[in-house]
Amino acid sequence: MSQPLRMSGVSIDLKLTGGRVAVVRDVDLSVGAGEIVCLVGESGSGKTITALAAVRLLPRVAGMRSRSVVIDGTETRDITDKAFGALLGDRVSIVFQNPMSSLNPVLTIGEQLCEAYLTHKRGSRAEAEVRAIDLLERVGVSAAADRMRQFPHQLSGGLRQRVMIALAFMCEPALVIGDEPTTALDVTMQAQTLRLLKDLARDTGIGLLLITHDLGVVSRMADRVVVMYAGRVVEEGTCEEIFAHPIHPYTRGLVDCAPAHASNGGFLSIPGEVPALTATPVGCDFRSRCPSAHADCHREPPIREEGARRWRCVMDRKTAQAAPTPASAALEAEG
Amino acid sequence: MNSVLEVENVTRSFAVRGQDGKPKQVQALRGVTLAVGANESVGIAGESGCGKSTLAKIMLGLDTPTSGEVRMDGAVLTGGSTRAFAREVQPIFQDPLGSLNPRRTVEQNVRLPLDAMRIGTPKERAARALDLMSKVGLPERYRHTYPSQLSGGQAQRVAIARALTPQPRVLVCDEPTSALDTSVQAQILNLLLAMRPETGISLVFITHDLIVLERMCERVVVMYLGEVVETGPTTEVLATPRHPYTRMLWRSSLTPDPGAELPPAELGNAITPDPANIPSGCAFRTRCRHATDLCNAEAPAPQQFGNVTVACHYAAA
Amino acid sequence: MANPSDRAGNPTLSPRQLMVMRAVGHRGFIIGAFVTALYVFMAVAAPLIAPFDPLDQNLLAKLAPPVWQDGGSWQHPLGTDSVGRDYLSRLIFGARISIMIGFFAALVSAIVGTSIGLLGGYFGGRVDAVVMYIVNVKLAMPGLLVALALVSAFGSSFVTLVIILSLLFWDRYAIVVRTLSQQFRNQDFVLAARAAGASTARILFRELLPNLMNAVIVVLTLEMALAIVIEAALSFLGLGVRPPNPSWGLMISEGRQYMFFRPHLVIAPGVAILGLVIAINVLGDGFRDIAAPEDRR
Repeated sequence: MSQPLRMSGVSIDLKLTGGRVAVVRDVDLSVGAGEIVCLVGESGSGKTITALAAVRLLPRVAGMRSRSVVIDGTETRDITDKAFGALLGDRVSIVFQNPMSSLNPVLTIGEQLCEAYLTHKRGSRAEAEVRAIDLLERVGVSAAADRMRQFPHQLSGGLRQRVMIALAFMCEPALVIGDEPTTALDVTMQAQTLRLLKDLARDTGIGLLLITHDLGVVSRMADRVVVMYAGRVVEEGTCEEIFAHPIHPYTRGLVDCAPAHASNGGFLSIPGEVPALTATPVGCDFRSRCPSAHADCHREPPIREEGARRWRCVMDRKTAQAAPTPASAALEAEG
Repeated sequence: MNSVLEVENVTRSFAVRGQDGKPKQVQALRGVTLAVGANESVGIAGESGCGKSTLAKIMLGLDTPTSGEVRMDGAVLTGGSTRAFAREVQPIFQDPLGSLNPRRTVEQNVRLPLDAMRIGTPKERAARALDLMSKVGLPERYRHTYPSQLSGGQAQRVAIARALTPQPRVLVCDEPTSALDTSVQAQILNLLLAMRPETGISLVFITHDLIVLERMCERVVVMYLGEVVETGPTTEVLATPRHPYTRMLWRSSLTPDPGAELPPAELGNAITPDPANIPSGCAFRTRCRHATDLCNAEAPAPQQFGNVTVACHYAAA
Repeated sequence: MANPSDRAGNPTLSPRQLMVMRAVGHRGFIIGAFVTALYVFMAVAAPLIAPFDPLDQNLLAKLAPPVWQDGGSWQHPLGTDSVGRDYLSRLIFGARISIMIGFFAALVSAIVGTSIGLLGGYFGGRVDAVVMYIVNVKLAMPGLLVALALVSAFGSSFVTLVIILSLLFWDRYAIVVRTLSQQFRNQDFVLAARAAGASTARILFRELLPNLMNAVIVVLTLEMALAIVIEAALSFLGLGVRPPNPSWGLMISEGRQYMFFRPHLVIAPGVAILGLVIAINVLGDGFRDIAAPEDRR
């Protein structure tokens, strides 16, 4: 079985008033069969746009360069949009944060589910309906046969997101991308939806790429975690390792910032903010917020590797883990 | 404890048109009573549709309850002018950039309550605005910048400075950090915490995030479909949640804990009923695994367990 | 999740500076602004640049040919009209009337329409129902016919012309402003202003209105172009500016008789109107482009 996703050397810039801005720089990302990979980062980290690039849904102002983007064994770097369209929805599908913007308001749920199946010539209409009802039941939509005849606006937000998940799995894709798929949901609905997504991924052996900023979600979903900061991958490793032994100062700060780690001294935060992309310095992007920053950080940091573990920092594992964490409870004065 | 802000038996219903085009009543609040003590931080938790945002609007004087009243130091505020509220209660909203007027500078945004209520001379207002900007960590050079030039965290600092300018007694924060990045969220939460001893201000903290609430608030009020289902000191309520809804919310809150499983599917149904069609008896029964005939027939009355009040027939069990 | 471009926008530039940057890079806006400015300059400096008094008749030199025809001279580059007035001077002074009437008609209708739209959009409910009723009545009226009737009833001074033209144009402002204020009234910054104890007047005029100004200016440019055309049409029909004042519409009407042997008497004012109307439209379109990125927020 081929790897669902392997992209390497992906760089994206946006054309904005005042020039071009590099939002993603030289990102490598892969998802194995049956693997759940969480792409973590804050706003401006480029995580969403990286995922959109994989499925060619970039905004028009974006320009993309890459060495290679392989989806389910097909190199898509040089194929036409039309040829790519045959893959989208069939070999790869995507679930967005807001289901209402992805569902067609004038078509019934059933029509939309079956359409994907029929477009990619997976089988007859009858087979499509059987599969749709089966999938709806698996994602916990009760009275699935009745729901098939309803329109998106007749469902609650939670149910709509379940329909979106069913839709993503309709053609048994190799890869499903979830862009903050549960962020808009209530906590109880989020927990159930994540469970469905995880079970479905495990049962079908597809690769799941989950984009999120919520470390609580990451810790319970991911096999592997990829951390992005200011358009670059800064650290990558298994879920346990990232949380138990983070190496990169940013990852360490992020893990410490979780509200659950608050003490009597207050909540922990990383002082400062993500640098504006136009102001991205040469060298390490995190150095302005990093307590261990020194002269070497003005040069491009090396990518260090230890097995499946990768990080982008001048410090080796030992030095990095012995350094002070950037998270602090102090109310910093901005300057 | 002395109560500063009291909400008594407040109801609010809206007339809406259903999908069939027929008018129907949505009961957003069904008799909510709560009190906020001096310098106390009260968290209001619940999912979308539970009425927490409507309650916030009523506490700010932005909406008028169908019945019931809001009191400040015993004096009734409901039915009076918005300005009476504005002196005492100020808001912090969820979307930091949306809550600032994009056409006005940072200083003008911060001064707004003073200008609107004509408090002090223009000079004093400018001085107070600058003073508060520095207190929330915004250097003076941001004075003449516009909101679109700020990051989310900075914009939320501006909103906090604005809320503090008229020296209110209560700050009503409606999901103040859910639009912010994790590493920035803590800065804002710390800022809110730091304001309390200095100003003696009370916080009403509305959130769906019980993990944040646990660290921010001394007391928690859990709401479900327009009613308070459980309330008490945060540590007691979250240590042993007595209402099945509180339990469900708390167990669905995902702390970063690798290796931990997702909450079991048996926790209960996650689908909230239509607020225009609230179930008879206990409103939560359609989602509750323990619901019995009693729950269908009768709405549970609030029961007292030490400092905790719970509205569930089986809270004692 | 914030749009990545939000963070990418250069943080050191104010909205105004960004707008200037967009304006400089927008060819249509620059050309439209330049040509419009040229017309405005012509109108303001008319007494200085016009070679003659536009009202001075010289019956001995009537219907003098323009410089490019046989017998034309540089003394009257565009020749003279049927009573011997210098045509170039009349054309230059004509810009005054067109721009004044166009601008004031668009301005008065902007004030009326924006106020009505603001009230309906912000208050909603019954106020809005009344506003929509008035707008619908306006839309159902045959505008030009009513204008003609009013002009013939009240005569056509500058002030009555401006008022009558304003009555034709306020509805578009009302509709645009109403829709926008409906969107704005539930935004957090308006709620924050209410919670800060701001009076309704303050919310309407100091919080909401500045956020609507860009849209109002776009409509204003388009309506001004239209007002200029209608003024010309009314004057052409003899119901607008009265002779001997130089109005481009009137000039076309007067030149009509001589169209076949002095075609420039019709073409020159026609081109003047066309040029100004196109320039203002291009300017307005350009302004919408450079102002829009903020309004979309």
